[in-house]
Amino acid sequence: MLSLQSITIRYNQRTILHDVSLDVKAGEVVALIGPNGVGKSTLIRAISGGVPIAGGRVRANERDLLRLPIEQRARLVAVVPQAVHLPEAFTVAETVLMGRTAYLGWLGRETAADLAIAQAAMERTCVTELAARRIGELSGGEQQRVLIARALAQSAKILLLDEPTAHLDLKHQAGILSLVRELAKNEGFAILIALHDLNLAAMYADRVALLSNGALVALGAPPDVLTAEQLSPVYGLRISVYEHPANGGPWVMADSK
Amino acid sequence: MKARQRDGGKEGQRDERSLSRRRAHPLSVSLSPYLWCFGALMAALLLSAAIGAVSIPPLDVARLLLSRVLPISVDAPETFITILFDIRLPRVALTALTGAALAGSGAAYQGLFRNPLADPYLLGVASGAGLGAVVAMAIQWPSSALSFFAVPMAAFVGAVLTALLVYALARVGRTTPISTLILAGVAVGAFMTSVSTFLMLRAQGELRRAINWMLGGFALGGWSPVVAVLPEIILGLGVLLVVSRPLNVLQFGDDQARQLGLNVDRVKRVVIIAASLTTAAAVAFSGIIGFVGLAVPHLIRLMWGGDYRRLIPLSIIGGAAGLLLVDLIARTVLAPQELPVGVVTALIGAPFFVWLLRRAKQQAFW
Repeated sequence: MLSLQSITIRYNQRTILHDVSLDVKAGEVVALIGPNGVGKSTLIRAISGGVPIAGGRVRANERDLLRLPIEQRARLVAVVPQAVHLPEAFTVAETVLMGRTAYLGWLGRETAADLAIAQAAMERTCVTELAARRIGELSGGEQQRVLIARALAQSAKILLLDEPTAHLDLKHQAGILSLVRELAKNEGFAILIALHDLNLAAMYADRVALLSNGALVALGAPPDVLTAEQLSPVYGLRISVYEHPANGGPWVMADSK
Repeated sequence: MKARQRDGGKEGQRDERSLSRRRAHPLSVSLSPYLWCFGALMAALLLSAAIGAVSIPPLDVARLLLSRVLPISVDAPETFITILFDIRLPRVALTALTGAALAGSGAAYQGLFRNPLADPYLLGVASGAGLGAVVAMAIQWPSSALSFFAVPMAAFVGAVLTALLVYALARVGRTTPISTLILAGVAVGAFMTSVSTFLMLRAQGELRRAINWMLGGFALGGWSPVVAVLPEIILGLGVLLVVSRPLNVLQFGDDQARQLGLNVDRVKRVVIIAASLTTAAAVAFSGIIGFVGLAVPHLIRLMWGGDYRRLIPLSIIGGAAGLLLVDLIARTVLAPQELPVGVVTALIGAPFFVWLLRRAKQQAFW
């Protein structure tokens, strides 16, 4: 569904990402992992057209995404940003309705169909109760759910999430990632998610893509990628991987010495 | 599982109600801000038309106005009719249009730069428009119909060029911090103003009259200035009303707006051109009137929130009412002498701006 073909990104003559190729199929959650500053967020911004790419191609539903007009791109790929610096002027319902931007005419009038889609999106992420509240006054976890609802309102089947659990406590981390997983499994979304927490990636992703020094160094099921041999050099410290006592998957720990 | 589904169903019904309540809510509640602003405008219009060197009772003003559309006879002195229709109403109309244009474009600039401190005056756009207008007046003092239309057009060119220059100067990498934006705006604006002043002082004859205009005085009387700026203001404000929803989306930042499917660069271009056109039309015959574009949208934001679909229309109505009232003060405090209205707006607006800055320092914006 989403196919990145040898993406190269340069910024001020510096190569940020080099020759990254990656497919995300419908019904699949792929986690982007790697140290801070390795280019996870940059890759997500590049796929959505926020950063120019120096080489390669992004295909979404067999179409060359970055050559499409902005409105059509937004109908194929929706992005869930981190819930920071949100304007306080808007209510949850108004924010979610902004997901319909790509479908409105030049007068910007929302139709009954747009309202119904926004309504369904709010129900899907359990924020309907908050509809009349202002987004600025919500907790981080609630804001993140609102942003997911807004992305769902775009009716795009490819979702990109940029560290959605970054500032959340354990309960909200689990809530958001379970929702993400359900969207892939039950509704066939293709999901690419940048995560810095390796254990969350191990638990919720079907495949993980490990980025290091601007290149994709490993791609595969969590047990194959999340190994001490592969992670230690990338993160520059000794890492041990154990078997998770509850689910049998990989359990990553940094060694203190 | 079954229980959860039933639960979900119930929640769904409740949700539907809450959304329909939300949809009903903006209309029913937002009617009152419109009523407030419209009432203020009507009161300001009547007062402005009534008060002056010769006072006309407001009731007579209303009757005389109605007599133009309804077949009623009014027994008012002939002088009242002349004063009202030939002297006072053109002034009132130009003042109202200027206030509407300044506040409407101020609100739009605030949305564009995502900052409540942006306004046509602080961004230097008004001064740029002023220079354009002075150049046009220097070439030919407005007397014929064509030269009347030339002034707002030249002001428009000055305004757009200044907006682009200030924006380019203020850019730091990919962002436009408000500090550099206002610094660049003030510097460019001061430069433009001094060039205008130089041109006016060097000039012979008619253009010297423009000095009063430069301070924000309605120097030219009659209906010609009104006719000359009306199309620009209607066009500019009309476009700004249409882009109010994209301005809302833009509040989430360029990246998110683009990801939501908004053609950000096109929206910004449209807003800059429409807001500059409106500012230019306001400046063309009313001079540099500061702080209206800052204070009016801000008061409306404080009272009724920052949704641009409401903020822009309310600012337009409120700006017209506000400038009419300030003009009334300017005409009456030292009567029979008249203060330039720009002097009074600055007198009230500058402390307001300082208070805004203090407030902004204490809390994050909005």
